[in-house]
Amino acid sequence: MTTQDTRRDARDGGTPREDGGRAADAQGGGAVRSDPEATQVLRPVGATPGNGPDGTDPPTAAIPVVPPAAPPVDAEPPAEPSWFRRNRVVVDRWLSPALALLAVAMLPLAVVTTDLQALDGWGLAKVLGIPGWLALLFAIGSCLSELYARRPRIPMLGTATGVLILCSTGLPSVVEPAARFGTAWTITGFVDAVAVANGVPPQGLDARFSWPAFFAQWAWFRQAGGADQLDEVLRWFPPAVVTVWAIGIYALARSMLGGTRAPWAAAWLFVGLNWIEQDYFSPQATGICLLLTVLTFALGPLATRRTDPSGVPGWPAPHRGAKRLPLLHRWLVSGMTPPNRPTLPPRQLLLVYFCAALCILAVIPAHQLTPFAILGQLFLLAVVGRYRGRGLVLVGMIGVILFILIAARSIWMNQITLFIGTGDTGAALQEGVADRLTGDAGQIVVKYGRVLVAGLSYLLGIVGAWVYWRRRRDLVPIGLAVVPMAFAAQGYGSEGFLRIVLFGLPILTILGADFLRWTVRKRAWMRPVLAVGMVALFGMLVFLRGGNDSYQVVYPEDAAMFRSVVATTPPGQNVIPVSDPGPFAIEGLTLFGRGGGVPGCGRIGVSDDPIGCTAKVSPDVIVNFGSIEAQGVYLYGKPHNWSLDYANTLVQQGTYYFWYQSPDDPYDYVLRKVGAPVLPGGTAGRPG
Amino acid sequence: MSMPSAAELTRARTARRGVALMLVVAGVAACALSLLKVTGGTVGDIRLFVTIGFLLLGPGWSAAGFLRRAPAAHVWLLTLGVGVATTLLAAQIMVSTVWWHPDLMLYIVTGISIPFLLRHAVVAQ
Repeated sequence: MTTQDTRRDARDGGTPREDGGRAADAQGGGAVRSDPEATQVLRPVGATPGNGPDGTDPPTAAIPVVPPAAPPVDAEPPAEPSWFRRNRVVVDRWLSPALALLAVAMLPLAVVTTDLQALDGWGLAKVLGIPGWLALLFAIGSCLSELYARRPRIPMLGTATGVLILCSTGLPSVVEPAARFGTAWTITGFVDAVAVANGVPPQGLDARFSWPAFFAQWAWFRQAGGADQLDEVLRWFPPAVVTVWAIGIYALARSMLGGTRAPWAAAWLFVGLNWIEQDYFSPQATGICLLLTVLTFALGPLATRRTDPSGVPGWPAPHRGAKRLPLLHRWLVSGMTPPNRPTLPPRQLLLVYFCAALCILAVIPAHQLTPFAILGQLFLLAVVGRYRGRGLVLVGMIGVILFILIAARSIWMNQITLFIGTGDTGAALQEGVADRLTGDAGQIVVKYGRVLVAGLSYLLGIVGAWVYWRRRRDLVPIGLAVVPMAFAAQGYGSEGFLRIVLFGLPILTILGADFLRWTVRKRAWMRPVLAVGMVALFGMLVFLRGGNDSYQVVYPEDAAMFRSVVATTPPGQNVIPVSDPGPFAIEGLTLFGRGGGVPGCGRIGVSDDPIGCTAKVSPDVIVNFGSIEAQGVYLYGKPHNWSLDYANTLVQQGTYYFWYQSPDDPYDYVLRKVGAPVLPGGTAGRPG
Repeated sequence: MSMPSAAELTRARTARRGVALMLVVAGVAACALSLLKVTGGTVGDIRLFVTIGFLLLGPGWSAAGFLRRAPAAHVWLLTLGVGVATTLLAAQIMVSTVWWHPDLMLYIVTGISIPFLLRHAVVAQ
């Protein structure tokens, strides 16, 4: 029966039989079977009021109706609902906020109970106090309880995700008194160099100054904000930037996966698998924010729709094996097919397009690799026709070429291999992976763990790609994760592989979340298993991210000591650290020499012949931190006190003297060459 | 994907108005503190964070406020993306033109952003 037939019956005085039948069925409590052989014409049992002239419903021939099954005589009364079911509303409303509050409340206790002095090769996980782990556990509980609620609240899920990031990625920022990771401090030195030179980046000092936008941006913020350093910004930068990334992953997953829960799972999976630590104060961290913005809008509001016969306007696809239509017919079909119009109005599209172009242009002068990652992924999407505004690729390419040709001529002249690559993937693999697998037992476990988790990310992504393919017949997303692998041939340096994982991770985790959703839909008992897996994953994250903390931890006293060195050293002297870690060169980057150019003496303290290297380099000031001592012990296998022995040897030779040694940490010291001038100015420590 | 209800839209509009107003206040405060040359201590820290917050969010919200019926995640991502991009480009322009005036650039960005922010405070999408 068609709708017209029903209407005609109603107009003619009859009753719409489908509806009447359904109403009777609903009121009579009859069950409906879909078995066609069970279709029969039945009258309702009993005096049920209906639409018919005699108060009953007319018989139906369209809907199979069967009489209600009589309840079994010995049926047990319905079981009393469990406590959880009775209180489900209260639990759904209050459990997640309570757990989030508990997690935050644990953090001050974690600060007190974590003994940073006991850090060794096993890193932060070994010394982290019980409250720190409890905070992580409560944060995960907050996320999961809201996710499993009957109606998950987006603001609460967002809050819980923020707390989770603070209690996992942000844990070092909480329990350590200053920003960790020496490279972050080096970059703040770059910012300082731009600020003190009134926006003129120093030339010939470091290749990274060829992409000065990030340094200039923060120099601008610093000066406009009336500050002379960014120490607190450095400290809280990782959790803040990972929060922005998580927003991007959530938004991207919303577009790619749909649903109300899977996008959150994708964001948590991303946070949990992000051991890469490229979220420190750096241009690439900012670059990922812009990359995610562009990708989200390319695959969201700018995305084209897949034309298929169901739902989307268009002509149905021909049957398999059908004879091809004549050309004229195909043209006719093509001409009469409604265009695949965007869902957004043109002004909104233009706004999104303009903003995406702005993001691409902004990242070009900020970072070497990120523009190529964005353009590579956009190019792939453009080739397969997945978004509107393919001119974005053109805009980006023109921007890159103009920047290289005009704004950064020195790159073109001296560092062209950064773009064309060396092609030596084997060397890149050796430098980026194999050379890093060193250190004591803790360090080795941490580093193999990182390789394992990276492999797991790709495995999860590939399995997710298979699920995505089964559901949507689409392999493009895994292609987006593969595009950054081109950097392997580029010879970027030892961090090239970290960048490959970093640029691929957003898509891999979204595909992985699709796989996890598939497993939960197939097997409901997987939910608790995945909850336990989330706890294990985040425990692993704290272990892997904090694995180098014995020599990455920085104290405010370290930064103060170096600043006093800058204040008291005449410009032009050679000031060098014993090794990499610590807040070195955070100020005065252009004032002092750094003693480079002697083969084999890049890091004098951990070279084969520290004393010989010192003689060759002949620095005026030697700076050491506790983190450098720890690096020698746990990464390079040197004996305890090696850095003090090194200093004492130089002092006994009569060439250097202790200008400063911290009363709290004897490894924090400054040696000055005998006879080198010192500007007036004091330090809080003990003069040597 | 379900469409948001009228109540949800009203809440979203109210929130958007609130954010726009807060950013207007932050922008004015950043410029005022800059003109008063407040440095050091707690107020100096507040000035730094208000300035950074406004510069990262203000220009972005000026653009993202025009997005209609977009999920909150898209709005915030666009806000942060455009904010970061605008400030990166502004800083690069100052470097490339050898015209380094951080305070003046703060006033310019504030002056351009605040009319749009006020518009979003009145007419939330």
